[in-house]
Order: sequence, then C-alpha cells, then structure tokens
Amino acid sequence: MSHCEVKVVDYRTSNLLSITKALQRAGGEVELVRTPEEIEKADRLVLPGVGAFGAAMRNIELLGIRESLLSFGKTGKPIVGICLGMQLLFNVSYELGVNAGLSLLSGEIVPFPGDGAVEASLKIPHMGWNQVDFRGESRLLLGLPDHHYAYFVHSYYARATEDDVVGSTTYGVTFPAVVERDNIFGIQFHPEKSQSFGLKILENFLKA
Amino acid sequence: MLAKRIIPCLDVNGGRVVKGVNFVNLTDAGDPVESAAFYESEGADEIVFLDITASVDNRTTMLNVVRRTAETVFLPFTVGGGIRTVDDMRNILSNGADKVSLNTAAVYSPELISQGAEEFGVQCIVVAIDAKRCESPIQGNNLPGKASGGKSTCFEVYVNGGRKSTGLDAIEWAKTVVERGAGEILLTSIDRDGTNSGYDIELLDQVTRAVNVPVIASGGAGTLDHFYQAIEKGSADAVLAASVFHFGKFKIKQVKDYLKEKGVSVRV
Repeated sequence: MSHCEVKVVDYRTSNLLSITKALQRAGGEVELVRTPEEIEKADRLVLPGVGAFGAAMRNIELLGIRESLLSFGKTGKPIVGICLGMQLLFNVSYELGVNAGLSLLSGEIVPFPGDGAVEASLKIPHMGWNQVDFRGESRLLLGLPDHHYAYFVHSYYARATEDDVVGSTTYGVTFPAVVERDNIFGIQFHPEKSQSFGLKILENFLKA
Repeated sequence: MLAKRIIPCLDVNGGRVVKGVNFVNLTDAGDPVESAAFYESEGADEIVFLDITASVDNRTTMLNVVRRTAETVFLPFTVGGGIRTVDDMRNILSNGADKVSLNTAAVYSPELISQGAEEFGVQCIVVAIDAKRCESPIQGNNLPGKASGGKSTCFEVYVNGGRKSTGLDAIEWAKTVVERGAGEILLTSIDRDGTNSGYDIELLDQVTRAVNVPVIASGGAGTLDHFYQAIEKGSADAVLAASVFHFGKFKIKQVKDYLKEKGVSVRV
C-alpha cells in the first residue's frame, strides 16, 4: 500500500508511539518528520499533540516549522490534527493565556464551563468514552456508525465554523469532535485509543 | 453522553501477571500484554497495570510491557507502582502509556504531582489513594487539613501497599492532590479490597463531593450490583476490579449489560 505514506510531525510531544502504531495498523507507512524540508516533501501529514497549547506552539516556532505547516495546509494535501493537534489548527486559544494558532481553520479554543457556569458539576478534564454524533457528510467518518463511542481527554474545546463540523459530542456543551474543510481535518478525541472506530477513521484519512 | 468506564486491573511482578487471567485460553496467561489484549476484546474501557515489582532492576522489564501494550492494544492504559521521579513518569509515558499513577511517592513528595502535571499535562497524572476507615477524626499537626468535625467516620491515607499509615485525612488529601494537578483519582478502600463485599460507598461519596476530577472506585467488587452502587450512590466515574474479572466471575460485558439495564450510560 505505497499510496498510504504518511508523515507524523514530531515537535517533541510524547506518545508518538501509539499514533504511529495505529497509523501502521490502518495501513500507513509512517515516518516522523521534524524539519521544514521534510514537511514540504510530505504527501500527507498528521499533527499529533498532548500538553498545553502555548508550549506546543512555542515548540513549533523553535523547530522553525510554523511556516511550512501553513504552506502545507495551502497545497491541498491532506493534514489532520489530533486532540491538541486539532486545536492548533484554529486561530487562537485561551488555555493559560492567549496564544495564536496556525489559523488553518477558523475558530477559537475555549475552556469547558467550570464552577458557577452552565454546569457546575462538570468534571474537568472531559476524560473517557463519549459519543460522536454525525452532522452531514464526512470523509473521515465514512462508513462508520453514528453515535459511536470514542476516547476523549481534554479540558478545552473548539468553537468552530458550523460548516466545518462533521461530528459533534456533548459534554455540558455540544462541541466539535471531528472537523473538515477541504484538505484540513481535525479530530478532538484520540483515534489511536478508540479501538476499531478510531482505526477506521485513520484508514479513511489515509485515503482522503 | 460520557460513559461510565469499566476498568480491569492487572498486577504485574517482574513482567508477569500475578493472579493471572485463568479462565481463558491464552497462549501465555502470565503475559500482561496478552491479558490486556484479551480485556480489550472483552469490551474493557481502559486497563490499569500495577507494577508490584520490588527490585529496581526489573523496571526495564515493565517498560517493555508498556511498549508492547501500546503497540498492540488501542485502548487507553495507566501504569502505577514504584514511580518516584519525573524521569520515571517520562519513561512510562514515552513508551506509550496514557497515564501514570502515583501513590506513596505523592505522599512523601507532593511536588511530584505538580511537576508531572506541568511537564505532561494533568490528564496524564492519576493519584492513587489507599484509604482506611478510622473511628475518630485524625489528630496531628502535620496534616494539610483535618477531618471535618462531628463525623463519626473518617478515612486515613495509607501507603506502601496499604501497610503504612500516614496521618493524612483521605478527603483532605484528595483535595490537595487535585490542587496540585492530579487529573484523576484512583480511590481504593483498604477495608473492602479483596473482600468482595462491595465498594465503600461512603468513602466514594465523600471524595467525589470534594473534588472536580474523575474518580475511579476500587476495592470490594463482588456482585454486579456493587458496580451499580459505586456509580449510582458513590458517584464514581469509573469502576475498577481485578479478581472478579481474572477469575471469570463476571465478564466485562455482563457488568455493562447490567449497568445499561439500570439506566447507566456505558460503552457497548
């Protein structure tokens, strides 16, 4: 399956092992990339991520790959952000201060309502298995069952453009679980930890 | 809706499962990775490995287990036992575990919780609390907070596998670990552990009221209704058990079916 080459951006976040293994299981030939040149040459990019938004953007700046990620997004070649990686695709995040993102998608990253807000009893982080409800046509969710469970771990969520949201999840608020706009994809949950449901989404991305 | 999680726990000693999964036709019932894969196929929502290896030399053995699990099991998993430094945490997380669980080391060096949370994010840091009932409020000046007055029952934190008392009030300690950056609490009742007489609902209730992070109930599962009580009366976000699953008393699916029938949201 040589058409399934995929590069995973290694910008010093931990746990690249799980996403690498999951992509391989989904039929991908995986390679880690760290430089602007490597990113430019890629046909298909995965932007993973755990940890805090600001620290992740700083690492991206330090590695000098911010510009190459932006130009990659404009080539029309598929790129998917996973969990924090998805959040980085948006304009701005309010996690620990205000930090600019990559602006490949339009929207902002905000915290779940905490004490005294909509739902005082909401536990943060949103951790565990929750349902993904489909919203219209999707390439990533093609052939998958609606309302299926996926594994989430996050304390912030995206306020995205309605048109870009193809799957949503409800935890106190209804937020985007899967987003798509042309060649830009985002997954808020962890497909690499969501068993066959997640592996199938990765497989769909490799075909996108 | 966010599902309540069912979590089997595997004790690992020197890279081998203790009290192995004895009812399945595994090629190697002592292999933690094969046991984890079996539980994945049975519908487990998460796996917890507790490394009870005494010798430090065998730590690398556990890292191999972690790595092999991450390569074959596409479920979240937590590793606890003997974690004493940020480097220990990094080794486990970089080999593919999703969370590390701190217990004794968190009591002696609470700053370890904050350091781990800063370095890896709160979602990676579980603090395991082993609590035991005591008759009167805990006395002493070394406490971060004392048991609230007037209560006939209190809960004290124990460490070193439940052998050593600490003088810490479990409810206050739970608040402290969350303030320091714990993203989840694994709450074990020492009184109930191994008794099959049900989770300690009062302990669960007090802790889940005191903190705003997910709480995993542990210790005492013996009937299907025990799981339900922990969730319904104790407000647990997840229920953990070892022996009832290992010895085949219940299948994970049986627990989920029971909970679902009772109206609890589970992943099926």
